Amino acid sequence: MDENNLVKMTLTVNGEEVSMMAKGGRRLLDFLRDDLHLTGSKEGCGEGECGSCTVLLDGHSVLSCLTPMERAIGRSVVTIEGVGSPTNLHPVQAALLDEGGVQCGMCTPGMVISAIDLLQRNPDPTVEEIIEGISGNLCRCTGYKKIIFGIQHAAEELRSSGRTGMVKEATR
Amino acid sequence: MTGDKQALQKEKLIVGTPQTLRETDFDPVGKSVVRKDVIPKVTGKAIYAGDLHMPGMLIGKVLLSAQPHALIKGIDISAAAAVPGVKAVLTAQDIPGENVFGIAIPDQQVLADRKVRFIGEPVAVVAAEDAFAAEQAVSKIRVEYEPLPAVFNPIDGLKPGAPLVHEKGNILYHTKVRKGNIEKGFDEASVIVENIYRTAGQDHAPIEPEAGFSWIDAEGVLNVFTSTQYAFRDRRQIAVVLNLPMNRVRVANMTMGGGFGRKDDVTTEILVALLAWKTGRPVRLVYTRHEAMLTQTHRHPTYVRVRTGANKEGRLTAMEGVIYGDTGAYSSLGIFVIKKMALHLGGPYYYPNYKSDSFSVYTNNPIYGPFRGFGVLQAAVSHEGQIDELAEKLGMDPLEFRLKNCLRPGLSFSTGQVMTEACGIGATLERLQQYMVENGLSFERPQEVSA
Amino acid sequence: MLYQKYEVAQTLAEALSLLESHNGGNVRLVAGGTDLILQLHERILSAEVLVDISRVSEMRGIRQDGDELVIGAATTYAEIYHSSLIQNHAPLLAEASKKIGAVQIQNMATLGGNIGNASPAADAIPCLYALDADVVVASPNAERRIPVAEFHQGYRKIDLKPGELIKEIRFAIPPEGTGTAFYKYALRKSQAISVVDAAVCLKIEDGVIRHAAVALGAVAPTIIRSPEAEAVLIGEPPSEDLFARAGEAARKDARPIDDIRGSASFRRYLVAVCVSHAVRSACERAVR
Ligand SMILES: Cc1cc2nc3c(=O)[nH]c(=O)nc-3n(C[C@H](O)[C@H](O)[C@H](O)COP(=O)(O)OP(=O)(O)OC[C@H]3O[C@@H](n4cnc5c(N)ncnc54)[C@H](O)[C@@H]3O)c2cc1C
Ligand code: FES
Ligand code: FES
Repeated sequence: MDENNLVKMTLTVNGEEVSMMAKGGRRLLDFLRDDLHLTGSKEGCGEGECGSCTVLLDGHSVLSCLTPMERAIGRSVVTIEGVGSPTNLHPVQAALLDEGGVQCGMCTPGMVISAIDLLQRNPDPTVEEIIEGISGNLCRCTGYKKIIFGIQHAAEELRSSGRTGMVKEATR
Repeated sequence: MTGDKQALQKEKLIVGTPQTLRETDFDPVGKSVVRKDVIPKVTGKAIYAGDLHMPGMLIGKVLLSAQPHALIKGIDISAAAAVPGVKAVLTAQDIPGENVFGIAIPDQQVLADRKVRFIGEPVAVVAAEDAFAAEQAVSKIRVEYEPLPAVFNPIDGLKPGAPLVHEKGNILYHTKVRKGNIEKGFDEASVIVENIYRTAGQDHAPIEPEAGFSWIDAEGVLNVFTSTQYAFRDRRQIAVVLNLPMNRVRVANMTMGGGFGRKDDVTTEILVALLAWKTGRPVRLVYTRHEAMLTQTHRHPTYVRVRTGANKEGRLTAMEGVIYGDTGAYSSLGIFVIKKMALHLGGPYYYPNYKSDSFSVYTNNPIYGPFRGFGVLQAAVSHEGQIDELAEKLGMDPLEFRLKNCLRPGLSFSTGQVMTEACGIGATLERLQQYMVENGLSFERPQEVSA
Repeated sequence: MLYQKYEVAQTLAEALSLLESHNGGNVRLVAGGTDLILQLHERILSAEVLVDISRVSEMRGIRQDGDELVIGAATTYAEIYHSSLIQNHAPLLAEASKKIGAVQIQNMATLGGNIGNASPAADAIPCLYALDADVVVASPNAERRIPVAEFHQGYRKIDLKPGELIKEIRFAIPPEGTGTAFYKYALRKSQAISVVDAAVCLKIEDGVIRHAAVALGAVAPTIIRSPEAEAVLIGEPPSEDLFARAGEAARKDARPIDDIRGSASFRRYLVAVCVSHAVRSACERAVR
């Protein structure tokens, strides 16, 4: 095995400092799944089409299957594992659950991250804007309607409680 | 509704075994309940097969055939086996039991032996310390092919002298459906339309590509944790290929990232089990999207010729059709999907006289198998086309024409089975009619667009 | 491994010296990575060293320099369509940026990467053709400035030598009375490569079109201009009939091929559709 290209990965993942030596030259998705065992981010296509690998990098949604892992050094990554916990769901998670926007669940982590990215930028999106906001995320099960309703309801919930979609604030 | 439910419960009509069900067991009925899989799914904690890992785990990778139809003259694995980190490079020769599987009939090879029948057929399988070593090893396997003439659609496949995909011939299955007297039926018709319809293949594209994880536990049981629709059938087939008694094989169904029919078949299970058995190490095998599209099943492409007649009163008198279904290189569920299509070719309408023949034909295309709809979708393309054209020729409203001919209780289906209550087409069309009246809608033929 | 070494440049000088120090080796620039990482992963390309230019300050952002607009090569599409300079002066670029991939791609991918990848179906490049933009190329000792159409030399071939990089894009701020528009036909509204697209920049004076630039994507080995359509437009007052005629004329310049996204004849049909739509909205914007 090639031991030459070990890199020091120092970054924040889901609010916690990570500092470790890791084999470089891979995608951020591989580092998250294989090294940190954060397997919530999925690989549906590996080519940027499906959005199931979406994570927040310094607060912006990016595709971890097209991001070189070293790009995350010194930055902050949020994956689905950092969004809400079973006892303290983010409003987007709770709304997808309530509306029946989750079937097989393979698209769900990426969908949740994209919805959060959208609501951070636009707390009161129209249906058109929601559709645009999740147009980089494919779902083969639900037909999208219930996901769109869910995001609408999450937006209402956040606005009525005076919170933003930011992960820390929304799950407070 | 609530009243009915209470009545049912009061009379305690529903008795379960072995214990009698209590009223509280029905509490969720009529209510919205949280599915128990959903919280793990929204929080990213649900475990899919491709998420599994264990210390010492190897990564599997498959070499897929680059030829649609060819004899294998030799496979040189030496360079692949020499890649650092590679623990196994297996070909057909390494299979301990029988090199065969199949959901309907055992006609498929686990790893191609002597001959490949489609681009994407597994030829060899590798396990290595990491994905890069596995990928490198696969790229270093040298297969010497002797290309054979190939056939890519079922109609060519039935021609005399067509290349034989399987030695037994290219017809996998012929279904005949006969009802009434077809000549008499067409004699009674005043309008007859005849058309050819073609439907294309389609990928299920579940967002989770096929994935399996296998290891031998402390008791010597071979475990396969996988993304499957049918764990028991997988288990049976793994045991035959590995030459193990069934009680040495355990298959568990992980959270499934979508299947839509295609994970009904064996996917990664036998290959990943082989690798774990041969290396003694845990192995994970996850297809890329590209590999999954090549090697897994798809929806059957079909070619249909159909003739349908109706009398002046606007009643269907006869339908006669021939279906050529492309099942690809192996059967999968191609027998049943194409059989079902013969039954449903007329759709939910009543024909006193009905004749259909369907041929499920082997070709050198990818494998076509179960996909939600199961042949009925392909049939709908032709029966709805026929019905519209007949209505137009008769000068009838297409909805009226359908209402006049739809299957209702007391009428018989293509097989002769008399409908009792299961057929809701009449009620659906009536509701549609009402909706259209309420909303002032009518059917308009779309304008032709010229390019 | 997809690559052996990852270097991050913070300044232009650093980026150029990193390129120079790895000169002769298999070194590649990475900006958004949306083309490159995919190509490395699928083994279409290989690389030993990646030089990350996504944080080079001189190559980021949009600014006005005299009567020119300057877009740093490492500026993302999200930054482009949020920029009021772009929205005011070159709305076609905002339009195209919104149509590239979907949100995640727009957060990652850059204008420089679109040029560096040089796909004949790239969406931002037709806009640059229509704006008569220049590409500014930097090397350790010099900068040179080349019209975008000359920079693209052939199918996926650009005028970039080892050691050089694309620093920025420059174009004259379109004068008063100018309207620009981009129209794309793809198999989906998002996340889809163009089957055909058209970018238009035109100027109306006294009710008559005085300047017209029509660029077409995905119908030739490179992005092309359509002199036929431009000739039809110039000297005419905008009208539905004119939009249709411009579309028809553009078909003569298109040299499309069959591929999985569409046949050559479908593409020729679409050229007329895309051009007439783009011309119509450019005219509407010009008179506003
Ligand atoms: C899912 C998906 C959807 C897409 N949809 C579209 C679409 O709709 N329209 C479209 O046009 N494109 C699309 N693309 C392609 C891609 O996103 C664009 O071409 C994008 O602009 C590339 O920018 P990047 O910064 O990601 O480039 P990178 O991948 O970082 O680089 C691309 C190439 O350019 C070189 N390069 C990058 N920056 C420079 C520079 N400053 N100087 C010299 N060379 C440089 C790199 O070395 C590399 O060879 C899509 C891609 C994906 C994965
Ligand atoms: S896995 Fe990254 S977009 Fe599909
Ligand atoms: S829930 Fe299955 S892909 Fe979206």
